[in-house]
Amino acid sequence: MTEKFQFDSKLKKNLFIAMGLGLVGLVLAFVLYPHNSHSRFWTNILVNSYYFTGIGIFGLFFVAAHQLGYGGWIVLVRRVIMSMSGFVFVGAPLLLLIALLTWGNVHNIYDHWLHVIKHPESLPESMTTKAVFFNLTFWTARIAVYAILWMLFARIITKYFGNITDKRSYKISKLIAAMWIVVFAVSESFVSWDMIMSIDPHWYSTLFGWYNFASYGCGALSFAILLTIYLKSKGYLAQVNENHIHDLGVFLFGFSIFWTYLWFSQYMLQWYANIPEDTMYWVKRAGTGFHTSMFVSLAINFVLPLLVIIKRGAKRNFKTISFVSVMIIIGHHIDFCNMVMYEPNVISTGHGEHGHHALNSNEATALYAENTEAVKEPAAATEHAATDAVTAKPEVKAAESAHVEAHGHEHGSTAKSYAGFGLVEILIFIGFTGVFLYMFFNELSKHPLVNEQDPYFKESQRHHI
Amino acid sequence: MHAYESDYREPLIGPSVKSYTQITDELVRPTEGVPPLSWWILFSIMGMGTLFFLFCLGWTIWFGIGTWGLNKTVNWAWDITNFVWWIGIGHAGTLISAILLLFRQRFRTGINRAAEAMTIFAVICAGVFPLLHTGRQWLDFFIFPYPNTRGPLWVNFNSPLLWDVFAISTYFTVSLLFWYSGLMPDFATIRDRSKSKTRKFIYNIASFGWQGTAKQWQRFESLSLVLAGLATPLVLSVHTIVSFDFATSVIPGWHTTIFPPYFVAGAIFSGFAMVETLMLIVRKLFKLEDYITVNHIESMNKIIVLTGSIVGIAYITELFIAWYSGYLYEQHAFYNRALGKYWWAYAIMMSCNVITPQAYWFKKVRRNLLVTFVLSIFVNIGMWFERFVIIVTSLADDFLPSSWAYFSPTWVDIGIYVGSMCLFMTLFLLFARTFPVIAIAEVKSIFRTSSAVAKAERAKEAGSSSGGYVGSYQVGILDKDAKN
Repeated sequence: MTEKFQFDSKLKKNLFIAMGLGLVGLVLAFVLYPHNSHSRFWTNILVNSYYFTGIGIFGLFFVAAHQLGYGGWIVLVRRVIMSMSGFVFVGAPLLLLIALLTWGNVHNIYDHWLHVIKHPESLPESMTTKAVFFNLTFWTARIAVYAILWMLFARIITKYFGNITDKRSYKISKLIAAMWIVVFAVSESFVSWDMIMSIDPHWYSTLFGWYNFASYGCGALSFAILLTIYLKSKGYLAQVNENHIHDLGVFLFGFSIFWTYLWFSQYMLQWYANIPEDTMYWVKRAGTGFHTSMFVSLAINFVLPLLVIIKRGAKRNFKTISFVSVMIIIGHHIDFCNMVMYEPNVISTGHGEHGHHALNSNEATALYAENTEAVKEPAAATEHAATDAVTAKPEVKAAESAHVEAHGHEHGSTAKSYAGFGLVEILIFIGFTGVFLYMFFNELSKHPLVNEQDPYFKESQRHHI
Repeated sequence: MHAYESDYREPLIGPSVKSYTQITDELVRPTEGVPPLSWWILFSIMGMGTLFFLFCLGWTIWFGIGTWGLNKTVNWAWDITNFVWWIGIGHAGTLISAILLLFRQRFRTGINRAAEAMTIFAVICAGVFPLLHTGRQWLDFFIFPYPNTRGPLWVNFNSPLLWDVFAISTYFTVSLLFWYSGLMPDFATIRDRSKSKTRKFIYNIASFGWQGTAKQWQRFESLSLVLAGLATPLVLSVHTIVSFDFATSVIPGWHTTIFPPYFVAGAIFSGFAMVETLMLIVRKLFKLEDYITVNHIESMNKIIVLTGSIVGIAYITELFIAWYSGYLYEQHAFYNRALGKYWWAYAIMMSCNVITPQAYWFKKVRRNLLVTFVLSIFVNIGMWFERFVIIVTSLADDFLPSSWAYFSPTWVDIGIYVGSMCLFMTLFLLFARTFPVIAIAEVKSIFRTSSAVAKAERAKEAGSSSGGYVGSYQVGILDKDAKN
C-alpha cells in the first residue's frame, strides 16, 4: 500500500486566498509606511522568510537527528516533518534576494553597517572587524552558500529518507544525516549573525545562534503537530495515533522550555552585568513600546506550554495540543518581529552614529559625514583612549558609557519608530503561512506518505507510551 | 507483553546471557565473596591517596589559604577549577537516569547505576572546594539563610555563588533519592540470595523491606517518573548557575551569554567521559562484558562526539564574537587565551576536547575499547583545562598591567586535587564491592526485547533471512548453543 496525499483544488483555493491576503498586506505596508525606503515592507519579508525557512530546515534537522539517534517512532510521521522543507525553495531565494537588494540600497535593513563598509574613512574603531566580516561580496556570498546548501540537502533528504529499505540504504541515510547536521549547525549559527544580529552591529550575544535554533524548533514542531492532525482529519495517516502526537508534544514542550532557558540566559546576564553595549538592545526594545510584545511572546512561548501541555493528557488531546501549537507559531513570529523590527523602522531626529537609520545609505553617509564632525570629539577620544592606553581601562569604560548615554536619548525621546505589530504584520504572516503550506502540500504530494519498508516501520506502528 | 524492537538494533545484553536467574547470579556475585586482588591493590593505593587528601585539607585549614599558589590577580584558581570540573562530572549520572529515561533509551539500563553513584561521589568531591576556599571553615554555616543574631551579616541573594549553594544541594538531594530508590529492589534481591543472617538483616534494612508486590512496583514506577521530572531541570540548572558565577561579571572572557548552555554541554561531555573511564575498568574487573557491551560504549561515544562538537562550536563562537565585537579588552582576553602565556593550556584544551573526539565519527574508532579508554581520559584532562583556561587566563591579566601575574600551583594545590580523585575512586570501589553496580531489575526489564538471545529466537521464528541488520548473526548464536 502506498498512500499518497492528493493536493486537491479546494485546499489550493484556500491557500491562494491566504496568499492573496498576504499580497494585500504587502501592498498596504508598502503604501502606508513609505518611511526608511519602505522598511516596514522589507522587514516583514525578512521576518517571514527567515522564520519559515528556519522551520523548514529544522524539519530536516529533526529527521536527521532521529536517524542518527535510532529514533524509530518517527517513521510514520517522517514524511510530514521533512516535507516542511518545501518552503526552503521559496524562503532561501528570498533571503538571498534581500541580500542582493542591499547592493542597490533598495531597502535599509542593514544600513547601520552598510554605510560604514562603503566609507571606511569614517569608520569608528569598534567597527573595524565588521568591515571585514560585512564586506558586501563576502556577506552576500555566505548567504548564497547557505541557500544553496539548504536547498541541496532539502532535495537529498526528502528524496532519500523515504526510500530506506535495506542495510545499504540505511547506512547511506546515516551518512547523509551526519553531513546535514554539521552543515545545519554551522549555517544556522552564521545565518543568524549575518541576517538578524547584524541589523544592530554594535550589539552581540554569543548564544544568539542557538536562540534562533530553539525558535525554529518550536515553530517546526508546532507545524508538525498541526499538519499531522490535519492529515489525519482528512483520512490520511490512519496508523498515526495519539502516541505519535504525544511524542511530538513532548519535543514541543522541551523546545519551548529550552527557548525560555536561552531567552533568560541572554537577558539575565546582560541585565546583571549592565554594560551599555549589551543593555542598549533591551533598552531600545523595552523602552519603545516593544515591551508589550516582549511579554506577550514570553507568555505565549513559555507560560502557555508550561501550564497547558506539561500534562500527559493534554499532549494526547488533539484539540488542546492544536490550540497550543497555533499559539506558539504566532508567539515565535512575534518574537522574531521583536528581534528585527526596531532598528530599520526607527526614524531618529537626533544626530551622530545612530542617526542614519532613517535614511538610505547614500543619504546616511552624507549625514554621517557632516555629523561625525559634531560628534567626533567624544567618539574619537573614546576610541583613541581604547587603543592607546590599555592601562586606563576603567576610565575608558566610563568614557564609553558616557558616549553611549549621550547618544542613548535619541532612542528614547527623539526617535520615532514606525515598527509595530499591526494589521499589515498579520496579513503578511497569513500570506507567508499560505505559501509555506502550499509548498508543504506540494512537496508532500510527490511521495508516498509512509515508507512501509523502513526497518523501523513496525516500531513506529506499534509505538506506545 | 514486551515491546517490539527492530532487528536493526544491536542487542544490549550479550549472547551468553540466557535467563533471568543468570542475570541475578552474575550481577550479584561481585558483592559476594572476596573481591579480586586487583580490587585490593587499587583500593589500598586510593585509600592512601585519600589520607593524603585529608592531610592537605588539614594543612590548608591550619595554615590558611596562603598555602595555595594564589596571587594578587589570580585569586581564584585550582579550587574553583576543581569545583567546576567535579560538578561537571557529576552531570552524567542524573542525565543518564532522568533524561535518557524520558527519551526511552534502553542502553541506559547497563550504565545508569554506576553513573548515578559517580554523580553522588563527584558532587561530594566538588562540595569540598567552595567550603574550603571560604578561608574560615568554622563559619561555613553562614551560607544558610536562617534568622540569626548576626545583624546585617546575611546571605547575599544577589550573588550567583549563593544560588550555587541552593542548586547544588537540591541536585545532590534529588540525585541521592533517585539513586537510592532505584537500589531498593536490587538490595532485596541480594538479601534474598544471602546465606548469612547479618547480611540478610543489613540488606533488608537497606531495601526498606522490599517485597516486590504489584503495589510496590506501581509506586516505585510513579516515584521514578516524578524524580525524573524533577531531576531533568536540575541537570540544566546546576551547571547553568555555575556558569553564572562567571558570566554575570564584567570580566572580559567571562561575560558572555553562551556560557549557560555551553557549560551544560561541557558538563555532559565530561560526565560521559568519566562514566566511560569507570565502566571500562569495572567491566574488566568484574567481567561484565555481556552487560556493558560494545554497543553501550558506542552509544556513549556518540554522545561524546555530539557534546564535544557542541563545545567546539561554543569555543569558536566565543572567538568569533570576541573578534566581531570590536571590543578591545574582549579581543585581548581571547588573544591572550590562545596565544598568550597560557597558550599551552589552551592547546591542551582544544586538542583534548574538540580535535581528538572527532575520531568518533568513525564506527571502527567508536567500537575500539582501548582507543575509547584513552580518549575518555583525554576528555577528562581537556575539560579540566577548559575550566583552568577560562578562570586563570581571564584573571591573570587584569585591568592594571603592572599587577599581571602568572599562576603556579603549590604542593597543597596539587595534593588536594589529586587527593580528591583518590577519594572519588575509594568511594567508587567501595560502592562496586557492596552494591550491585548494574541495575539488576532494569536490565531484566529489557531482557525480552533487547538481549541477543531474545533477538535470535525472534529471528529464527521469522526465518533467518528476515533481512535484519544482524539477523544471521543472531540465529548463529542459537546454532552454536545447540552444538554445545
